Amino acid sequence: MNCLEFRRAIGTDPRGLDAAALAHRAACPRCNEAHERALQFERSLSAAVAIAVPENLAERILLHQTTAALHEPRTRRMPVWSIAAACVVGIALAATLGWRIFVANASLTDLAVAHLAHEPFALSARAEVDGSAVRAMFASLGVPITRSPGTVHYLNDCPLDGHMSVHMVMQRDSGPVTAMYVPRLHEARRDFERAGVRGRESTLGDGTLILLAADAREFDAIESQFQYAFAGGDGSAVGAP
Amino acid sequence: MVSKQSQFDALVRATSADLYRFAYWLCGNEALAHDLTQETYLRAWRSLDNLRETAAAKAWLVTILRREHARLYERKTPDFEPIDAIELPEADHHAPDQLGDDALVRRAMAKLDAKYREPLLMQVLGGFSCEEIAAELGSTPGAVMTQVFRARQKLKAALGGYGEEGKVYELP
Repeated sequence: MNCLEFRRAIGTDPRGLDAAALAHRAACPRCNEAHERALQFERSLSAAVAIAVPENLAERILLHQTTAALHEPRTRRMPVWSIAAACVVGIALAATLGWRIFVANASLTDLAVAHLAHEPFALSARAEVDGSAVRAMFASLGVPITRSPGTVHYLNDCPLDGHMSVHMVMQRDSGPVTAMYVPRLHEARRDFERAGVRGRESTLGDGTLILLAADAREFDAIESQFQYAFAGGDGSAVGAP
Repeated sequence: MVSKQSQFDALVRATSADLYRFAYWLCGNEALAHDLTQETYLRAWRSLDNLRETAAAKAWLVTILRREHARLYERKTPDFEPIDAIELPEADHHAPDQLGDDALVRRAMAKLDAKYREPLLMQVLGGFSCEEIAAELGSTPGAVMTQVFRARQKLKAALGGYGEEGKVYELP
């Protein structure tokens, strides 16, 4: 190693010199001095970027986490039969949809239907999720709603087509209905059926609401509940049709 | 058998200070850095089962933090001043004669372009190697070496007393 290479090395990582650099430093007094100056600068840099940390930061983080964990809907215990049933539903869905879903250029609809198989436990969730948690989840994605869109039994934030979405399940008389809200994506309103799953896409506020179920009879009522939930303030959040 | 909560406690206590500092230098706002740090750990808790090696914990957390920070800007444009326009906090654990120097270095650091500041912070605050930084930033080790080298040059030039930027590592 020559002097130029050594100076480059200490400019890149003065605390991480390799054996060749250390040997050069031992043999070259000027480079040894340069390294001392570089280490002095490094100490100044480390001290300067180490800004003061809020008091009790770790405790605050742990409090936030343990509080959230207590209210985490997906951590609620479910009966064994419920888990087994959910697994059967999920596996059946995955097997049925399988190759049909994971084709090139999958649409938002395809991805939403495929997502059902990713979280099969969701369909059998029975415990009611607190309305404030639903509103908080929407707010975390930059979508303020004034009230919860009906009784929600499963709540999660899930990636869909590169966007974070709010994934909900509502247990109704006709069976579980999955509702996914994708902010800032706009799809034309339409009803569809995909591999035995009935669905509806509609624009709601600045995003798209997707409803999925085996039976579509509750779609109108649930869509109305969502429009009502979005219609706070000046009502401008309610999307067309 | 260590419980998941015990593992998480240890992770938070070992890494939260540096992660908060990294968050602060990413966003330039103390309150937002606090929120980003909390959200990062909440997401880490939810996927703690994915963490297989303790040695990789810090890099894993930095990845989550950077995603959270990016997501913040996807959702909305926060009403904050640019990082180079803010009043930087003084460290409360340094000797008084060092505070002045720290403030100068901080201002110079805040004015660094993000493409230089971020890899340098990962090296100085996180102790990451150029290879690890490259993996995190989706870059190459060679490019990262250039970035951290130039970052130091620019800092020294901005702080004065080291001559012009190009002469920082001038040979005798």
